[in-house]
Amino acid sequence: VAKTTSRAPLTPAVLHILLALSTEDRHGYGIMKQVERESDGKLKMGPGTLYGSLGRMVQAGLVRESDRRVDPAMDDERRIYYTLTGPGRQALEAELDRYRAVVAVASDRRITPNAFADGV
Amino acid sequence: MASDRDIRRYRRWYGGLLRLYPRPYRERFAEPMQQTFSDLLREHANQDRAVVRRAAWAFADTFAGIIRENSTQMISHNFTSVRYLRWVVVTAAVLAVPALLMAFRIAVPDPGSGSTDGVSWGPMDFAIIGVLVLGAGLLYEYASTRAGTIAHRAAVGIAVLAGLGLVWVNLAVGMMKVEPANLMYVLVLFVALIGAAIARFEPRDASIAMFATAGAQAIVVAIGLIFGLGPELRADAFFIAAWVVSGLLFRQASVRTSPA
Repeated sequence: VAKTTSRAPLTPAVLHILLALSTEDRHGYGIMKQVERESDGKLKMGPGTLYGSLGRMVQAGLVRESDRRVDPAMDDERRIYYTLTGPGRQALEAELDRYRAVVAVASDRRITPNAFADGV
Repeated sequence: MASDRDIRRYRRWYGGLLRLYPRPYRERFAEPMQQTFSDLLREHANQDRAVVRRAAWAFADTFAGIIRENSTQMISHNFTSVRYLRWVVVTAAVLAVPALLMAFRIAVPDPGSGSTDGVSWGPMDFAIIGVLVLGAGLLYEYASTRAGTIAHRAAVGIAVLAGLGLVWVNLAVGMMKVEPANLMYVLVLFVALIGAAIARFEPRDASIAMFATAGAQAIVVAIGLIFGLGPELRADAFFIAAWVVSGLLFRQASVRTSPA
């Protein structure tokens, strides 16, 4: 079984899936839509990427299948809902801390989003 | 706007594409993936957007996933094959020892008689020992795939080694001086094998199986002593200790793996 420690950096897909599941349990399509919304449409995950990532995340213990049905309007026997596990929540928190630390370093050095605009 | 018929057709094609995934992945995710694909197309159709482009994008994304999952499975299978293959090499190495001793006529002390003599193995000896070593190795590999902790692996390893050693010693010199009495050790192995099979090497039940095996061997020794069959007490004590240690390690593994 693959092991993921809370210190291992996460791929963008895994990070966004964890974020999408941090508020409620969702099925595959629900995750896909939430990721698209939260990234302002910049990250569009197809079914291959989504379920490949989910499979690895289940194996790593970051998420698990849930029995709950939280979207009765779209409910269907075939839909699998996913929920965050404790290690998944820890991995998300660790990754967000890492991002905050990187942003803090950039702020200390007065690096702004436009800092390299002229140099590239 | 795409019709339901178009969406059904794309969905059918998508179902065909999903067959290219490895079977375990397909069995787990094919249906929800197909459902997600349909949701995706329906949403685009409801918004009067080009479904064909969305379908093509989903096909490309899924195709990349198929390549990734098949590659992962291929690498994992090769790794498993190597793990099993190494026991073939170990078996060959073990059998090479008597073969070389025989080829170069090198004399070794016989632990049974105490005399020094040349090694003389027949084809059946090579076959039996080969099957024993290879079988023990494969059993260990199979069981260790279910082991999540070092204690669990150690428990499996000790149990397999104890079983292999017991058979080997019995075949080579016998655990009791009176020959038919050695057949009683078949019962000991029977308890170990049946117990492990019922437990499927799961720690809690496997620990009970190992303690039962130790108990069975202790009973055999007691029978040997009562009826004067000449049990080899030091060897018996060694094997009983091995079963008990294996049982304790299984128990430790069960404590660590049980939910809090």
